[in-house]
Parts: sequence; C-alpha cells; structure tokens
Amino acid sequence: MSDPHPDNPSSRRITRRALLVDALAATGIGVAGALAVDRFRHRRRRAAVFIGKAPSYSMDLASIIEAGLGQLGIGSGEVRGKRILLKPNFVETVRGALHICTQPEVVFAAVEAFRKLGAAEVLIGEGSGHCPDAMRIIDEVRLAESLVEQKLRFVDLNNDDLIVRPNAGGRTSLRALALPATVDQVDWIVSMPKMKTHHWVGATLSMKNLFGMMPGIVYGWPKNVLHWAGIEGCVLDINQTVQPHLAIIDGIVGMEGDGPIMGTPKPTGVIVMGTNLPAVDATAARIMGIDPTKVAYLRNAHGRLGTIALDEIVQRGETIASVQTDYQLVDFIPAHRGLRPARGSRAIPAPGLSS
Amino acid sequence: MLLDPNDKWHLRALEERYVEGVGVVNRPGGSFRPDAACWAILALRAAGGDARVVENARRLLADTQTQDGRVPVSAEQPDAYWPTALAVLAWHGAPQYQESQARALQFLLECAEVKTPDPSEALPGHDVTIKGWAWIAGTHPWVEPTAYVILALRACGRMTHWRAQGGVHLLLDRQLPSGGWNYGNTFTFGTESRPTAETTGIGLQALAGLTPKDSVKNSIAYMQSEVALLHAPISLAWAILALHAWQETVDRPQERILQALARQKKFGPHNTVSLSLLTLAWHCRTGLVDFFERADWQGEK
Repeated sequence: MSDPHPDNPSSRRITRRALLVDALAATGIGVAGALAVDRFRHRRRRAAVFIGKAPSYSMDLASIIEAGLGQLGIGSGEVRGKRILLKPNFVETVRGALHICTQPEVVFAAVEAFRKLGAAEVLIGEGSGHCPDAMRIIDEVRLAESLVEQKLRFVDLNNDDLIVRPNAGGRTSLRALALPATVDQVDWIVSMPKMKTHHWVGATLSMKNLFGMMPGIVYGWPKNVLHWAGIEGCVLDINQTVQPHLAIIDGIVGMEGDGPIMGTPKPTGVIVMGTNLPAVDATAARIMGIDPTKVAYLRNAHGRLGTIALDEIVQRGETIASVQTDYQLVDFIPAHRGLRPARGSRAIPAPGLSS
Repeated sequence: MLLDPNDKWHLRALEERYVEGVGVVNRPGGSFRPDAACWAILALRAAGGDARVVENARRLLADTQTQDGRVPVSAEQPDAYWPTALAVLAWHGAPQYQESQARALQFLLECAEVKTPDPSEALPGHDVTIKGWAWIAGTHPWVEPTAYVILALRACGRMTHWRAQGGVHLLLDRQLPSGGWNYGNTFTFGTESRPTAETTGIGLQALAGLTPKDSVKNSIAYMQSEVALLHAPISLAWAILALHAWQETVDRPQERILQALARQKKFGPHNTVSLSLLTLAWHCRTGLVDFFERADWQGEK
C-alpha cells in the first residue's frame, strides 16, 4: 500500500451528471450517516474485547474463538441462520510466511465456531490489495484445498458484482463507495486482520483491513483511489459505510518493523476479538506497545465508530499486560514516530478519551 | 466446462459466457464485465470459436463505450477506464469497429489526468515523472494498466507515439532490480518490494521484442523460477505467454494448462478471464504480440 502521496484529495471532473449524482449522494449521506452514527453510539460505552492466548497455529483455535464469542455475549441466538462473511487479510503472499496474511488455521477456526453456533452459511472473501490473481493468493496461503474439503465458498471481492452506497462517513471527497455485491448478501461481516505495523498509518488492524473489501476493478491495485483520497479518512468512511459486525485479529504471529508487507515476524500468541472495532484495534495496539490515541484513524474513530478509551473497554480473557510485547517501530518511517505510550502511562487512557 | 481448448465442444463453455442482451459475464450468473468480454473475444478468435458470439460480444462492448472513447468497468464507474486498452485489442482486425477502436486509442493517448506527485516529495523508488496509465482516472500510473496500453498500441502500430515510449520507459523503471514486477512499487523506505507472478508475466509480455533481452533478464529468471510453482489459471497463463514471447522454454506447457483447467472439477467453474487467458496461452505459442500481428487478423470479416 505504498502510493507516494496518500493524502492528496482526488480530483473530479465536474459534469452535470456528476453534480446530479453528488446531490443525490449528499442526500443519502445525510440519512445513512445519521443512521450509522446512531447505530455506533450505543456501541461506544463499555465495549467488551476478548484476548485469547494462542501460542501456535497448531492449537485448538476454534475453542478459543468459541470462548471469545461466548465472552462477548455471542451465542447461537445471535448466530443461528446468519450468513457470515469472513474477511481475512491476504494483501500479498510469500509462500510459507506466517506473518503477512491471516493464517488459514484462524480463518477455519472461525468457520468451525460459527457453524457450531448454527450459521446458515459462512463465506470467505478478500480483495487483495496488491495481487489481481485471487486463485494464486488462495493457493499460496494454503486455503484452496481446505475450501473444497470444508465446502466453503471464497469470494474474490476485487471482482464481485458491484453495489454503490453513499459514503456514510463523509471524511473524504468520495461521495459514494462501490462495494462488492456480497456485502448485501450477508448478515454479518467479520474483519479478520493480521496484527501488523503499517508504514503509512502506524498499525493495520481490523478497521484498516476493510480496505480489502473495496473492489480492485474500481479502486485499482493498489487501492490507489483510497490513497489519494486519504488513507485515514477512507478507513473511517469504509467502516462507517460497511458497518462490520465483529473483529477477530490473528496476533499469533504478527508483523513488526516495516509492515504491512516487508516487516519481520513477531510471535505474540494472541487472538483479539470484539464487536466494537475501534476498541478491538485499540486493545491490539496496546498489546503491540502502541498508544492508540497516537494512531490518527483510531483517534478519529473514537466517539464516532466506537471507543478506544481504556476505561470504556471491558477486557475479557487475558489482560493486556500478560500478553503485551513491544512491536519494533522504525525511526525512519514517519508514521511510526511517537507511537509509543508516554513513559509510565502505558495502558492509561489519554486525556479527553476517558469520557 | 472448458477442459480442452482444442475441442470446439469444450469451447462452448467459453461461448456461453456471452449472455444475450447482457454481454460477456465474468462468472455464470454475474453481470457484464468489459474486461472479461475482451479476453473472451481474443480467446475465441485464437481458438476459432463461434464468430457470431465474437461479433455479438464486440457489439455489446461497443455499446458501453462512452462519448470520449473510454470503455469503463461499468457505466456507474466511468473513472475506472482501464478496460479501454483491452477493448482496443478486442476490436482489432474487425473493420466494423475501426471507429470504436480509433476513439478508444485517442482517449488513451490523450488521457492526461494521471497524477504525478511532486518529485521532491516522493519516496525514492520509482520516477514519478514518467507518464504511464492508471487503473482509475486521477490516480498514479501502475504496471498492469500501462502494459495493457502498450499491447494495444503495439497491435495498432502506434509505438512511435511519445506516450508509447513513455509507457515502455515506465515499465522498465518499475522493474524490480532482483527481477520481476509487482503492481508498480520498487522500493519503499529503502526496501526492495517483492514481485508477483501475474504482473511479471504481463510486464514481460508487453515488453517482448521492444527492449533488449538483457534488460529483463532478471525478470525472465524470476518467471522461470516461478512457473513450475503456479497452478492458478491467470498467473500460469501469463507466465507461459510471457516466457514464450521471449522464446524461453516452459516445461510441458500444454499439460500445465490442462491441469489448470481440470481444477474446475474440484473448485468449480473458472471465471471468464481465467478461461480466456488459458485458451490464449494454449493457442498463442509465441506470445500475444505475434497473435495480434498475425496476417489472418487483417481484414477480418
């Protein structure tokens, strides 16, 4: 994800048709935005986040995810009959590497857990940010054969039919967002990222992972339209428009250093889960030794899409302190500078974020 | 199910991706996709498929062309103009679409909205002043869309145009020192990026015959090292096309193509782009450029 100038607003040719579309979209934004904020408002206070210890991919990960769902109050009553899209991160593959992509063991563990709770259908979908060939990706992340064995459908979100929704976030110049039609065909979207540092935004977790929902046929490879519109604003816009229901972060082996592609493996041994994505990402950031209030898109998500304030997050499972391990940050990467919590203030909410 | 690109009966599986009144879809039951239409047209031409399907697909493709000549991914997404270069190829050799093809070419040559950031602010890695083509209007130029335009300009004999030279320059500039291409970033924060098979195949195919072999030797070596590991149709097809375009040998290419097609028995039908590229890799044994320049394309009726 490395366009040299991610923050410039995209240019638009102004035509009569564009003006009409914009006017209609603006109306839509007003209504959709209000609904979205309303929906998120009740999710802000006292968000539960589950941390499960998982030292290796060979463990019974389904049991950990089932336990996590239980701790989050998600049982068969919530899942039965639902169609669930699992959205892992397969941005780019290196055969045998554990630290770039969400590992299939975690994805299939989630499949097993949701099936056990009575999901009507579980799908796996990804729109790789760097690689147009989805079949090669699922071969190289060792997903292909298991999809057949487990009778699972994979959706190439880069190449799905398209739907268009008004941009409910309104943080960027994008008036509407083109999305894969599968978004309209499922009840739940579960963001399943890898726990990684990121050289443009500091950390990439469940909210940033939704860049992979955006179809490459409309946004390009890399998703350059989003870079020009502003990565951080787009993270908020996409999350507010798509409204994912749950996050399950693969932090068993994460990536530190020059993430999200060229960093090094960081065994962390955790799975982090929750329905309030800013809270989940803030918890993961704290585990990584990153102050979430210093990650711009997390700071801006606070109060709008959820909470990142420690005193508003109810920690389930393990404590942050018991699994915390500093991810290496790189001095020459501007987005990494100043991300560490102030000395002595680790795990303490920043002023203004503890309402 | 298309399992044998030599078999006319099997070819029907590709022909059936053309849906009357809709055009070519990328998967059964899906919507019209201009890029799928273009690749299917080329594959059916190469394989001697049903000429009526080719004509109908070309006509519906022409219906999606906008006034300024572009062929966008959908009418609702006019900025996503990247299929335009593929449409130039799909209309190639069909006199009744010369005007459509000329307008598409004109659009591509005049397309000046590619964003080039201030070089003083750019990260070192690639030369951001070189003009190429983007996937989407108003963004940066990248490898794959630029390679498609180079193929289109080559087919139409327009390589002397300064934009064509710029495109070749861009592809060489974005080539990774260790070999291969990815979407188009060579270095980020001083670290060399990794290549990807499909983009390397497309880049090599576009440059075949335009640049000394020595200038892409690392990319050919990367492609040679990858091809044996590839099973996915799109990557495998581009690897075979690219290596053949550079007169490189590939171990049992036809067997590999049949194996990739046979995967449909397990994974379900491949999408139309996959079927088409495998068919092209099967029939175009010296790469795509020779196929575009083949005499029987001229004056096609």
